Amino acid sequence: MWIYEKKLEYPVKIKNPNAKLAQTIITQLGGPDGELGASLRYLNQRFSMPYDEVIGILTDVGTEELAHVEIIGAIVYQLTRDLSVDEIKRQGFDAYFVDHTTGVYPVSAAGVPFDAKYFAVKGDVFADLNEDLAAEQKARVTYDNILRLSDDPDVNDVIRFLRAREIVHYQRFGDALRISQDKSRDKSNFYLYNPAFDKPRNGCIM
Amino acid sequence: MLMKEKCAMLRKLQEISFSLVDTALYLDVYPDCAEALAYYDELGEKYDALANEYEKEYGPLTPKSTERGKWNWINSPWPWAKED
Repeated sequence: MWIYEKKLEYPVKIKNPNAKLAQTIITQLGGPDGELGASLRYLNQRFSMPYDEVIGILTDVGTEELAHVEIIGAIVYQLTRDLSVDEIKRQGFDAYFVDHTTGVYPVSAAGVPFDAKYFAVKGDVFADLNEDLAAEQKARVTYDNILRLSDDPDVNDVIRFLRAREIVHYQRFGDALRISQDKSRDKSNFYLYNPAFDKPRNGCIM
Repeated sequence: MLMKEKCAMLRKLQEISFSLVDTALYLDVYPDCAEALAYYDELGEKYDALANEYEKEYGPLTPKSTERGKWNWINSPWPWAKED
């Protein structure tokens, strides 16, 4: 089970509102490579994982991603404070505003609502870990692109922290993949059986 | 036998933990209720004592309470395992 801690993992202190920027950053909440999808992907992949090290890393990265969901929410909240209706219109925030006012709702930058298909749980150790490696890279690129679009130092400081975490997660998932390969019975053919499904005694699927 | 003791202790821990969760919900909307406050404090003390005992015997409930010098945080069983 989970218990909430009343603090952000990394401080968010944004001086200037900017609804246009908020609309691009919100994709890391509700978009295809966002923190919400990442967290729920890892936490759900755990159930079928056969190795303690991999369950451990999925639990702890999945939990950290929940903290990142909160950080993105804090950024969007602070970027959309104290706006006049005129600014909302000028900064192209009216389409979001009409449906959600300044509430934080998970959508992509293009306004597509969050979708569970971003989870990608295959139930296979190697497929799932490769999915996770790709997900961390895609999130890293999204943060790279946010840094290209934003010139607000208060925002960019937080985005750089989140970007660095993607790289660390990528490295740990790489370790988890190597550990899983090392535990394979046949080192020349990792795919001989799926340790998340096939029982060792009747294990060979090919 | 050992497994039976673990299950009994975990069950007690889950009961206290659930009571804490539920009482917190009540206190969120009635923060001045002295009776609920006293109950929450009492539960908290019970939980800390029992969690301490459980962790010494069966391993950590959180990464922070893992054994000194030994990362037993990841050790099976995880909570969703089917017990034999």
